Amino acid sequence: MEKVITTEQQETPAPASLSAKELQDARQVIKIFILAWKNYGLYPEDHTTSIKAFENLVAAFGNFFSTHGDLRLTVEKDRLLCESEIIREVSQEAPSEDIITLLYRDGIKWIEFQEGLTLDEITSFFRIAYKYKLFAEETDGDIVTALMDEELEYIDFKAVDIFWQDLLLMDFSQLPPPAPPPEETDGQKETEQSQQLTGSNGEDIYARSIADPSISDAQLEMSNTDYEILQLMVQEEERWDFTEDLFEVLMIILKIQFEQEKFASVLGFISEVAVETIELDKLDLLVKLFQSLHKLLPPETSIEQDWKRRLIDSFFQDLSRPEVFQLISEKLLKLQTSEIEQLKAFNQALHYFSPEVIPFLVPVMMQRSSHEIQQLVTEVIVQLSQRDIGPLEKIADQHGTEMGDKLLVILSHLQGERVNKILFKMCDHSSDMVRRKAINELVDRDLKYAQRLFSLIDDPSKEIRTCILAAFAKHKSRMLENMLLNYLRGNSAQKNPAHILACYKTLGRCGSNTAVPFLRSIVLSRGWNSFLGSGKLIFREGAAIALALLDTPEARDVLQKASKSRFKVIRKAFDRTKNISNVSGENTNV
Amino acid sequence: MSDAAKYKSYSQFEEFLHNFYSLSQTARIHSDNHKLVIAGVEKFSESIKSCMDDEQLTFKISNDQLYVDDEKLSYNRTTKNLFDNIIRFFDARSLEGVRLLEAVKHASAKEILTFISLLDKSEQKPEPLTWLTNSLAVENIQWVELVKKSERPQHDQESSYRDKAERRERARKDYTYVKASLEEVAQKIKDQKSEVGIRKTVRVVQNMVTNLIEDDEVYAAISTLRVFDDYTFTHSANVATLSMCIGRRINLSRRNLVSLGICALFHDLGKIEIPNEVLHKKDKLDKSELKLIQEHSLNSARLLLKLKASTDSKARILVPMFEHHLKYDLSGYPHADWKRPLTLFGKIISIADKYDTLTSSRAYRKFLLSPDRALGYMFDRSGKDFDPTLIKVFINILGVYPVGTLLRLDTDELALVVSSPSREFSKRPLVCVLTKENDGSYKKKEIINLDERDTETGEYVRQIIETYHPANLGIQPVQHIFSN
Repeated sequence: MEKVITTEQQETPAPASLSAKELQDARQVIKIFILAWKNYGLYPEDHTTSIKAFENLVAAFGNFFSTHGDLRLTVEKDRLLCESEIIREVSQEAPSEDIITLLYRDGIKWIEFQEGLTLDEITSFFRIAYKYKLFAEETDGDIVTALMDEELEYIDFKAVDIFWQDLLLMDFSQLPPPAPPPEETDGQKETEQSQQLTGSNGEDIYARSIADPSISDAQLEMSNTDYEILQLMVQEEERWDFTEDLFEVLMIILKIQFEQEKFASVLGFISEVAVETIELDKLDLLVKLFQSLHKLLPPETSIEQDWKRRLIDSFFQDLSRPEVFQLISEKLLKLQTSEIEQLKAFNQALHYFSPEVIPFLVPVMMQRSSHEIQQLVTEVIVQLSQRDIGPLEKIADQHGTEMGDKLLVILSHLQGERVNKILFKMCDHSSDMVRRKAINELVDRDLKYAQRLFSLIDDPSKEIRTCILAAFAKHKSRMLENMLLNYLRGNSAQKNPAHILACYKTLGRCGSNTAVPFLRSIVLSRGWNSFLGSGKLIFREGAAIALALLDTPEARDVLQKASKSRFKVIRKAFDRTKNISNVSGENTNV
Repeated sequence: MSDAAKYKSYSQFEEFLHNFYSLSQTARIHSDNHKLVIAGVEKFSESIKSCMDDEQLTFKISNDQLYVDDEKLSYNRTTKNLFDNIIRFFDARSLEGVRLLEAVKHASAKEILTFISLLDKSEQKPEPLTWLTNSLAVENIQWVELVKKSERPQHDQESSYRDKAERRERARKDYTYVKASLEEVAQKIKDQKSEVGIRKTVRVVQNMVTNLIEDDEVYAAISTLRVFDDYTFTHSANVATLSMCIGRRINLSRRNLVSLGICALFHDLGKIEIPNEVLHKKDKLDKSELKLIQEHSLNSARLLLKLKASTDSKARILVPMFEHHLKYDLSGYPHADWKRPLTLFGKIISIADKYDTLTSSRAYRKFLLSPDRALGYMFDRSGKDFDPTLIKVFINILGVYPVGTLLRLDTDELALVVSSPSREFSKRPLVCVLTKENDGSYKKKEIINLDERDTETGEYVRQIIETYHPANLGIQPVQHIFSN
């Protein structure tokens, strides 16, 4: 087997006779090859069409190998030859995209597919060709360099020089003689050398020859230990994780940059490496990098270095882009609770990102059941939202029940008008559970919000009605008392009796003696219509309960009177209060 | 043949040599029907078959190196003892090598054992080679030919010369291209191009690695090139070449060799930002100029970022670029309070860089060390300035009289080292005699082996009296080493 990657020292073998069968089979393989290449351009690599095309191709190669052995193809301008026979010409449809054109363009003289060729190898080959499909003057490589790098075992090729044909080779016979050292100089440049090779008086220090008898062969001979050390060195190099070293060097370089353009160029590369660091789960290093960058921030007062601040800010801004956030989100979803250090690192690193990352973190909260991870993400979102609540506002507009629930946990840690606004929005959520929590949160924050929320007392949802009353019931409030009194004085006869009862109970919880006259009138009224409308038993009972819950001397006095009333209906209302005598902590729900 | 295929061949060749040597030792101790001997013959026969692609298989010693079918085998930890033993084995029998012909594939176990036994016994004979030739004829063993020491067949010598000439030509091409690619990249950076592709550099370095794997000696030789007015570029090309030679010897993977080569080639990229008047200043540098010089490794690393290459590729070579003026004990520059041990690439490049610097003429430096003294200087600083193991590797590659060292012999001849066998640190390299012409130039005369002894006295014919740097006499070594 010959795997060739040399410049012109090997020539294509002279054409040999090719049987009709071999020619036909070669053409068939190449037909499938070209089809697979076309499919590769149209479909993703993991698409069934691509996979099928590759499988067909590998099978076709397999058949060819079993009958004829390896298949070597000569690449010429616009055509492919098997030995001296043309087996394929460049398609006229899109010649520049034809794989033959690409191989020829990069200087591939022949390519050989060998027995043993695997699906992986052929896929790698297509991936490489596709990557370098478009010609670019300034590029990191081409099909040849990538194939060399990939070292495919069963795809061999020969490439010729395509860059330097016009360059005259160095003619060693015409080289000028090397300059001898200057006789005398006034000083030396490379201090390290001058210290070593020149004494303090400028005299040369003697350097002995390596052939000097004072150096024994044994000192120079490679021992087994030396070989072992080398082997270790090589192994370490092969698996060297350079990220930490790299960051450190980059920071050293960055520190000495006093020109905007140079500073920006280094920072640009740091940004690239930072993304790779996330990909490689090295968040601890990322944190160190971020910390170092923060240390580089000039003082706020430094006007002349304001550009540095701007560049560092835009570094973090640049890093705060959807694809990076998506990556972070994916990493968090895969993170194990046991990876405590990683969790910590994530926590620290995320704080450096823009709050725009929040929409990518919320799904993590929803998908991860782990308490630790939920807590981590919540903490981060809370902190980021304190910098900018905007991203959270956007989510609030489009969340579902589960997300709403998680959002409420986050919002509960945040303050401010914009946060409250989100909470108000959430009071209109489609989920009663979310609404309930939002109502409670708002009322707990400030009773003044109760006024805005009072209309929910008539919400079609029983759960919400109950919730709002329960929320009110937690607070003794003149405002709530008045609102409830107004509500009960109003056209409440049409309301659901259970709801009315709950309203009275709430009044009892949050009200004061102000409500007593109204309650007394309900409990003790005896007019012709006192047994209709608001005089119905349910109202009387509600008012009695409210009085019992008020539990003031004035309220107790009314109840006392009710207990001694000659009207059975009034006494009955009083009797209802007996069941709630242990008022404290009682559930006011109906 | 690609390097992957070569590695495969090397391992087959190594196995073949191992089987040969182990059979010779086993057969010496045990009888022919001993199971170890029988197994040894089987293994030997098998390895012959797997190695013999053509009609013959030749293994021989040339310049203290082992060759199988003209492929030079590299010394490494696992093969060192084996190769040394085989070389001694052949030396003791005045043999340069053995050529096995295709018929060996059909040779019986008895025949193979007879051959091995005769080889073994020949050592005790006054004229081993003659005795062995006759004995093989008597035994009618026709599938083996003996390659006599210093009497190599003409066609073999011619093919070897042709091969060598081809390799030199390839090295010349690679060197020209690698230097040109560096110049192009440097120019683009100077021209403030927003993107600087390195496709050509990658391709030429990949190519160079392929060729260097085959023969690193010719690349070590080409690195003796010195062009005063083109110092930065030739220096970088030399450092890249020498670094890759070291990497090759320590068995770096092909991919890492390419990275190392690119890293070493660009290691001084930062110098393009230093004004020429500072770079070539003869007088003592002032503080700011010195700072500029000392920041060049940092600037090289920064300029690397401008190159169009994958983040990973750049990341891998950036740190060694930064480190190339840091010493093994972490002194040196930049003074950045660097606490981490140097990377392997950094250590290699610092060795190659120092060697080339010490042996190059610079405007600001009045000393110029001959290659052997440069090695001595560096050896004396191993463990402090340089990694001690890597320095040994480097000396083992170059030999104690590196190619390009100018020697004055006791015959009053001036000789330039053209090949320096590093094995066992032979202090008797292959040299070409130089004679001074009327115009002051030097002309290459015959090539002589300083290992040559007087047949009567047994004394060496020539002794080395002194070494010089070729520049001291205005000699450009590559001019002579690369001429026919």
